[in-house]
Amino acid sequence: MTLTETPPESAPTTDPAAAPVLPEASPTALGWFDTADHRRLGRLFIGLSLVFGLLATVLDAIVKLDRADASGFVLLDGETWEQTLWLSLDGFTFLMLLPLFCGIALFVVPLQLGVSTIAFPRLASASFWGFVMSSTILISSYAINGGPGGGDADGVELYLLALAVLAISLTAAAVSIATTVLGLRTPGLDLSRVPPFSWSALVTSLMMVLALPALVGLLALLYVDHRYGRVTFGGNVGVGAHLDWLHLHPQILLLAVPTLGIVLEVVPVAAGKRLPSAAIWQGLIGGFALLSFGAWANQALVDNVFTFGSSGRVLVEEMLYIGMAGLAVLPVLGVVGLAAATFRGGRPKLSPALVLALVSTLMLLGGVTLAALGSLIDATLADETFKLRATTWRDGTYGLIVLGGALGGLSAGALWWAPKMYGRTLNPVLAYLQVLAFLGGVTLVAVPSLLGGGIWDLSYGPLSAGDGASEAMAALAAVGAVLVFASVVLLLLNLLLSILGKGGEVAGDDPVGGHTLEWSTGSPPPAGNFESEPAVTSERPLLDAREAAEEQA
Amino acid sequence: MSDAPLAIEAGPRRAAPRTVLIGTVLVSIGIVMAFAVMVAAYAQLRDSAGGTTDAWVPSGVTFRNAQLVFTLMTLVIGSVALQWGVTSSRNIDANNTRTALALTLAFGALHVNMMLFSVDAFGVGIGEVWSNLVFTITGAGIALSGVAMAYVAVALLKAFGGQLGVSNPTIPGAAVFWNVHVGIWFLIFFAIFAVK
Repeated sequence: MTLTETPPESAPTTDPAAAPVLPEASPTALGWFDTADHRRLGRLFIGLSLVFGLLATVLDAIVKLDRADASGFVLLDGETWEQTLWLSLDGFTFLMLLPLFCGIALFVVPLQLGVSTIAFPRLASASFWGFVMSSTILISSYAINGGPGGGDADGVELYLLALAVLAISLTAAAVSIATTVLGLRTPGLDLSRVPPFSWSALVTSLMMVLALPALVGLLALLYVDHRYGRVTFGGNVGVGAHLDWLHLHPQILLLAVPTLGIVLEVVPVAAGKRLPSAAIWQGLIGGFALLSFGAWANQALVDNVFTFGSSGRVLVEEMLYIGMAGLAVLPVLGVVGLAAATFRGGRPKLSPALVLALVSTLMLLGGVTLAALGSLIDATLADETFKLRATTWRDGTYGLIVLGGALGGLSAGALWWAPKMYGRTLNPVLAYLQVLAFLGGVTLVAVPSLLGGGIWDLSYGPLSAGDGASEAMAALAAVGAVLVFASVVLLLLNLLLSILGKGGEVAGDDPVGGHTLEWSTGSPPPAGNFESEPAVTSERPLLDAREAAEEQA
Repeated sequence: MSDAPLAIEAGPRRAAPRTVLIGTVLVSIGIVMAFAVMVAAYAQLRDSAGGTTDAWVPSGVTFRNAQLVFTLMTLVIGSVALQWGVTSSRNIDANNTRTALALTLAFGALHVNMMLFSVDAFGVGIGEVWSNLVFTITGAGIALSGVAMAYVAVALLKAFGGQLGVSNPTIPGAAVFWNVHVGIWFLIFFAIFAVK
């Protein structure tokens, strides 16, 4: 498919039974550069985000390793440590997790909805190339001593521009995904019948449309102020303080919203059962997404969001903040309950995707619960010199929510739909090794960080002084970060060996016994996805067809 | 697909999707959020500076209120003209549609011209707290007007190509985007030029 063809969404369908006919994508390598095919764009997003994931996880490990030595930095100096920390945080959010979500959603959502293409395919294509360009510039800006707290003014401004373009690119992908769910569904598939992942993709995209443009507005103010006088937002150092909300509760919850959809996608198939009323799980996922909106809690809009060691009340100690943090526990708890209820009485088929999806949801539950608990303790503790938010407690909850909840959930999604995307099954040994590395890694990142923060008052920043115990906690967290890196390597390696190396078995149309429409077409799907737009009368059309066939038999 | 395990029957023809309108609404929501943050930051910093106009607006700044009110009304008239275009397009009336869209573009150009004059007439340079914020917000607003005009221009070109009614969803889409953009200018006008 090229960028010059008739837009699929406006192509007239003259024959009621005929699907829109889309030309085959160019088979040459050039076809990947001008493609507006949702299948190729999805794979491109997934591949590049996993490569960037290697960068983010390596940097995270370096940051944690440097924190483990109280006598001085092991690998970096103080200023570079701060920039490396920021690049790893930006890497997780903007280079890895949001693009990985976009990639999976761009590929899977049109298939689940029974349509031939994504809405605005050229916009989705522009989104990917905007992501490539801006992410490259973003990394380059750090390389020239830019980024938050950087020493080079031009580098800081380049960073602000790159982040703005990156946010706009990801918003464009989100618009494409949300419009597909809202406006392009096969007949009979109303919103109450949309599968859990597509629903979570819709609400995640809508929250991205709310949050990322707010970031762009803030970046515009920061850029102009930084360029002309640095009179308002505190220059290079102020940039970091004003963008901190991106990597804090509640904004980080946005990254984990798709996990709830993925676990509710995988569990019923594994158990061979149905979920209860769609209104319940749609409400739970939607409620969690609403509580993830954190653009209101940034330093430009409130006097004091989050000041390390500050005295007096700050936003994170206010009832609104604590209330939102506490409420976020309920939807995750509800999803865990639904998953448990779906398993009851069934015989679940174990798979790496199922284990990873369950583990990541439990980690997310732990993360949101401990984040809420931390806010409550900070607000009620009389001792103003000790605040959990200024310790590695913050690292622990971040590890559970972002690494455990978001990265784990999206990796489970990648494992689950890989046979559909690439037409070959993945190596189960490598997949289980990935799950083990991930489980061990996130546990080692989170538990020592939580203990170090809660018991030893281990500073969130580099150790200025520390005893053996606190250094050991930081070292364990560094080992955990290395294991998380290893889990991403194993996922990439599995994809390379099974797909490119053709080591995986050829997957049939439905290698998992799926319930939703994506499993009714080829693996990988042909151009146009379906021979004709399927008619749907329930949330799980394939399960219905299977049960009807069994009854007839 | 021949080896599909379970055949799902083909469905009836789907109604024409309203993707353009839905996409426009989503983009508009995003743009509203961007301006909401900028205006909220302006209000927050104004409060931090004491909250009074004297403490906030640099001395020597001139507000051309007559021009500013006129430019806002120009945008509103543009909205009316665009609604005329939407109705004409729905009635497959090519002449009225083209005239209405062209008029909207003209009103947009007038607005941009008047805004550039008004901002230039402030009499203060960039590099101060107030001027950095105001130039960013009004500059972004003028850029938004440019985008809204470009959207109307695309709808007009399609109308010249004979696409009217349901075959040209860009016309109602452009109307939604234009009206949201007018709303944003009202917000800017209220926050920066009325309350100051």
